[in-house]
Amino acid sequence: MKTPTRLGLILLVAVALCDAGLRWSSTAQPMPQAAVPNVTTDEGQEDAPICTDYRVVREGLIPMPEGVPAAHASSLVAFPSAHPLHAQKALAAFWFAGTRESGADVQIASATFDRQTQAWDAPQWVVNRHTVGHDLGIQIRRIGNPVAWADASGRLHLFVVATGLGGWAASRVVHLTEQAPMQFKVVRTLPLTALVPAFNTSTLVRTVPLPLSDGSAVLPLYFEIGIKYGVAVRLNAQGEMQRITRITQRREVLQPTLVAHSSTHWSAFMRDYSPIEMVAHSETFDAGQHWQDAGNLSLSNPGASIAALRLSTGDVMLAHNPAGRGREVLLLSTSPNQPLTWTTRTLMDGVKADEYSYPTLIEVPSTAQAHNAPPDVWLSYTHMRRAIAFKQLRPQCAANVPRSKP
Amino acid sequence: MNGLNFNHAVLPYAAVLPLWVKLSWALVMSAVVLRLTYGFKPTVWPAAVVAVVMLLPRTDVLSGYLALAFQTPSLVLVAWALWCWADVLQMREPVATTPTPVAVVGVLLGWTLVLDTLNYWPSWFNPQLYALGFESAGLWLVLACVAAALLWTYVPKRWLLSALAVLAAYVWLRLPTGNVWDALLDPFVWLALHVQLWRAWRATSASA
Repeated sequence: MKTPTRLGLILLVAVALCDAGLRWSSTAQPMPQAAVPNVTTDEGQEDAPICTDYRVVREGLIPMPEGVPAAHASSLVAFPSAHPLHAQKALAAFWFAGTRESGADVQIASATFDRQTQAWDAPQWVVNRHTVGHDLGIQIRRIGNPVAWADASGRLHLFVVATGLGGWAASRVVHLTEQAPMQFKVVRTLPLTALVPAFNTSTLVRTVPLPLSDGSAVLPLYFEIGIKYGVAVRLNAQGEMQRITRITQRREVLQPTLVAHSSTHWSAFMRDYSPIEMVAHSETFDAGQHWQDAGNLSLSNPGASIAALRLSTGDVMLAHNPAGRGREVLLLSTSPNQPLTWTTRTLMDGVKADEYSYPTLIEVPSTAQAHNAPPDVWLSYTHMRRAIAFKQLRPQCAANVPRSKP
Repeated sequence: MNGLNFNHAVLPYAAVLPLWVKLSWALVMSAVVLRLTYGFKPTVWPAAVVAVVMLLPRTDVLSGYLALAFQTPSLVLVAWALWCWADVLQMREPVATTPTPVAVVGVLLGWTLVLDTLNYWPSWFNPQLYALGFESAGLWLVLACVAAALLWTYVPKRWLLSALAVLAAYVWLRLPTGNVWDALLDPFVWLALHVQLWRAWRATSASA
């Protein structure tokens, strides 16, 4: 063997050892499991109250920034106890607003819900394309689809779609973190697709992350350029990207929303863009390491965004539009955790050209309720593309009775 | 918890990324201008002006627009740009150094990444190739390919030096994205490898 070859091989081994050394010093977390409320067995629950219905206790429109005619794609986040605003504010809403969707003046707006006044505060702008572009050193054409999440230390993170050359077909997901309460600064563009097919590849974010037991989370995202499929990005407890996993082999499903049936058994429900028009379903049984397609739910979907939530009561809730009537009707379906058998009620029933779409669901403990009462469910959605509407739903529960296992 | 985990992504330090966008595109574009103009008139001024313009605070929008379309160049493209400048400053003729088998592997890797991005795998096969690039396994695969090239093909010293520098820079800085495939391939490198293979094929056909 020639000397340069020998030297080259030695240096290659040195590179591998350096990589191992740097990985040793960087934070590495074991595979955390989903944060599932009240789970005492792998699939079942004990001591969970039986809640038969959810009553709307408050509803309305979230105030819009003055003179702004269009709004879309809202996201909600409850302020965790470690957040500086927790004592005053219960939750925050984020959405994009401007003269129209994809308009050059579109910015990310937010509003907080005050605990004392029990009302939404005046909205504020939190991010625009110029600040994002300046921080990244990139010219950003448009921004949209904000998704909020609180990390293990209570700090809020915001993930927004930023479009490149080619508009929505060349979207990237930008990660921002909170520097001061409700003040955000860009961290980076998440690396989600290879540079090779760089031109007009598109990855977007829409639905809230699935929280994990150690304060980390799984952020659902999707690839969209003609074909569409969902992916999941594992974030560590500080919000740093850890790994990316494709969650479906199908090519016509997007905007996955994640729920945990147990600590390791999770489902991804996805918006369907095929002629089948049913909510698509993927499952993992090993805490997100491997996913497999599980067909469709029995719920129809007209190619519209959906939101799913595993409730503290043990059930699963899904907000969605039905095929046939589309976005003029907003439905709320609930099902026992396993097997999934849905009961559906109508939340909004409009006429043609009305739009109640892009729902988001979260749970927020209510101060007005008894100590051991299940948290309220908060729903936000796009109202006619002109504003963001919300509903606060309170579970109507019987006394705590041990629930039989499925 | 700290521990030896070979599967998680290690991303580049976020604060250096805006600077990297500017610097890398300035280097690459100035090298392109250098290669295009030096043949007509042996002066470095046009390329130097391009580099300075792309780095100045008021005129750095050019790198911003390139990043808008292509994000960042790969480390391989940046290495090529540095060699362009080094060749001119040391008055050497530019040379192509990538061994043909390496070019074949690069072209195949690019097509496989396209298939992976478009999710065009059969239902029983889901390699998650791009995700592999964040793991140590992806780097080891690249190191094994370079070792194989060293052992079984003729490798110019410059190529070996570049390969080691690119891989060391990737391991140390994780640029440009934390993914080893992005450190090696971008649309321009991939296109250049296609051209190199096409030329090699034509040369072989002509001599046959």
